[in-house]
Amino acid sequence: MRRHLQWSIKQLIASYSDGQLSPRRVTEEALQDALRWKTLNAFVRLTPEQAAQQAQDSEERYKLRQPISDLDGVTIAIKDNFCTKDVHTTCASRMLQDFVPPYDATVCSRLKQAGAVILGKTNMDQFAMGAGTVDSLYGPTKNIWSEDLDKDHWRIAGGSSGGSASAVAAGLCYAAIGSDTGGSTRNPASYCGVVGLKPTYGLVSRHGLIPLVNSMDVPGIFARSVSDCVAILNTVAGPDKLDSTTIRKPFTRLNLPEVGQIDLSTVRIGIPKEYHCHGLSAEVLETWSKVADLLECSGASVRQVSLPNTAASIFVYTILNQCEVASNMARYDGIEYGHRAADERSTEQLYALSRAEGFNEVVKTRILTGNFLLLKKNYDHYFEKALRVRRLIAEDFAKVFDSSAKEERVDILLTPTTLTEAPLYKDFASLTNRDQCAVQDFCTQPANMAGNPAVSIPIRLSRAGLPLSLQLMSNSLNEQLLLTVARWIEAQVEFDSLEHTQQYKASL
Amino acid sequence: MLRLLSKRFYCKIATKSNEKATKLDFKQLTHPTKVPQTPVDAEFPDTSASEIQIDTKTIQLLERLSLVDLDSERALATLKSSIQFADKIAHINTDHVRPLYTVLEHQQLQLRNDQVTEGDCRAEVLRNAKVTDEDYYVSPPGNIPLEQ
Repeated sequence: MRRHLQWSIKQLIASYSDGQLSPRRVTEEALQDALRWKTLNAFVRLTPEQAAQQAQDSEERYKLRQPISDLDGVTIAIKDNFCTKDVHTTCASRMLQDFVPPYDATVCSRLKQAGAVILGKTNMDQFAMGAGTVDSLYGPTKNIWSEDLDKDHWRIAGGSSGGSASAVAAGLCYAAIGSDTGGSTRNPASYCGVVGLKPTYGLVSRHGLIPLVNSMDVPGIFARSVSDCVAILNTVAGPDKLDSTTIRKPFTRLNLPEVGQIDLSTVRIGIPKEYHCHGLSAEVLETWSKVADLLECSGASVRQVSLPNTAASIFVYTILNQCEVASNMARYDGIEYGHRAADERSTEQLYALSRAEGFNEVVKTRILTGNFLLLKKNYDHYFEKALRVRRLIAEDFAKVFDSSAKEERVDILLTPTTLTEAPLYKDFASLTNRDQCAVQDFCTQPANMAGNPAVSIPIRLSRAGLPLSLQLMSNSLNEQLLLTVARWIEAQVEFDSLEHTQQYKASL
Repeated sequence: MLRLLSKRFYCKIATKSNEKATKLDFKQLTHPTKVPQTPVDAEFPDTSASEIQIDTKTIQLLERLSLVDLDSERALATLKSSIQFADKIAHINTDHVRPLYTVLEHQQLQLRNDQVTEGDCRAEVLRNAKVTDEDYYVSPPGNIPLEQ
């Protein structure tokens, strides 16, 4: 294992500046490691030539002592639903298997402008519809924490951004970009033992992110520490002319206090009781209780609160997801881009066959269900109804964060991220896609309903040696406090994201 | 084994400023816990028994709208169960609650002027089409209803 992988981005940058390491060497090693860890299936495509060029450019800047940012020369991976100029962007689907975007997503262009080295594109569930990274054209992604990566005993990485999470957990890159519609960043972060941030809706541009559910999609960030996560957020966040749904308020770069300087005595933590749902494992419950206790010991006020509409959220999420999917997927017809079937009888026939061949069963079912729920006779009963309940869910958050009586307000909510450690692939694959998502997204999708930021941080290992994580949520645009508290917890629990047995096996 | 040890060594260096604290005991709590120790149940009606009728006409309409086949018994069963799943929120009282279309509803979002800001990218845009003729996309004859 490479010694520099233990370092933070800040330390890496410092070693570039003093000449101890070079962006070219780190990039070359990362590309070698990615090949060595092919069995994880984290990447669907590596971009060695572009990466080498970016690393070379970065190295020259360091030679001139003029790095352009605090991400200059840092290796990063991008989920394959972000458009990358002249690099295939497939959404892990047959539909977009040959799609080569002529432009960069804003997230990618900002990373490139900051001098980051982009190693390649990571695996995902087809069109980000899933919670396991098991429904990909390129096959499932494996979790590096699995007891056994070979036989039938490997664990899923979670999803839908499982490739990005897996790449960061395996030390193939320092950070990765994912997307989060209902938990697609936090869920795999939780299973893979890395930090996963879903920023406030509208804080990070969606331009070039192939849409799933426009009103909930946000680019997500994976890293091995909270401060690395902040470095990425500071680079990609802020208004974008190319996405009219970005928040127009200028973004102020986050600057977290050092751990020793963090004072939690004025911080109010809420424990939303409804997040203890059926299926929550005893170990996650124990972890949740312990961290709440640690916060209380540090002087934070910790109280139980109620978000009464939590359990309805998964149903609302499923309805809205299917409806927006039905609309979003209408663009794929095989004419301008995407898979084109060999059927020239009529336009409609070509559309239908291209879609039949290009989409998997999960995508098709969501389109059909979405269109059923949107039929004129059903529109009010399902779609509008779901949007009304969505307001109740968002109001639950608003009440605890700002509109209730002052003594009842809280600043941060502490909850589980996923209900269990990473499941075995064979157990997970026996469920339907809907049940996979309904169980695994229970704690994560409410934040997407309301647009709040949420972060998953790894806390400890389960008895089976797998990461257990917790989620923190805050009011919109309060990433500063959210990540400060996350950083404090991180320092208390000292979870080592690279301490997996696979690495030990490899290093023996 | 040597490499394993050396890795440990680096670990220590990386965290030197923050000496490994005594290992946390997750069973040990100082305060009465605020985390509910038993599941907080929410009641939702069981909709799995309700009969979902979808007639042939509706199926054909859905197929036309979706341009996706609903051809197997399994696909139909999945559709029906998804509808039952969606029925779970029907009982929730939403009188006088307005739909929430976007979480940015209180913000003035940016609208740009209706002006061309980029262009001269015909080749780049067309290169993703499978069939083109000179500068045009090519599609088979239109206005022919889908065979069903």
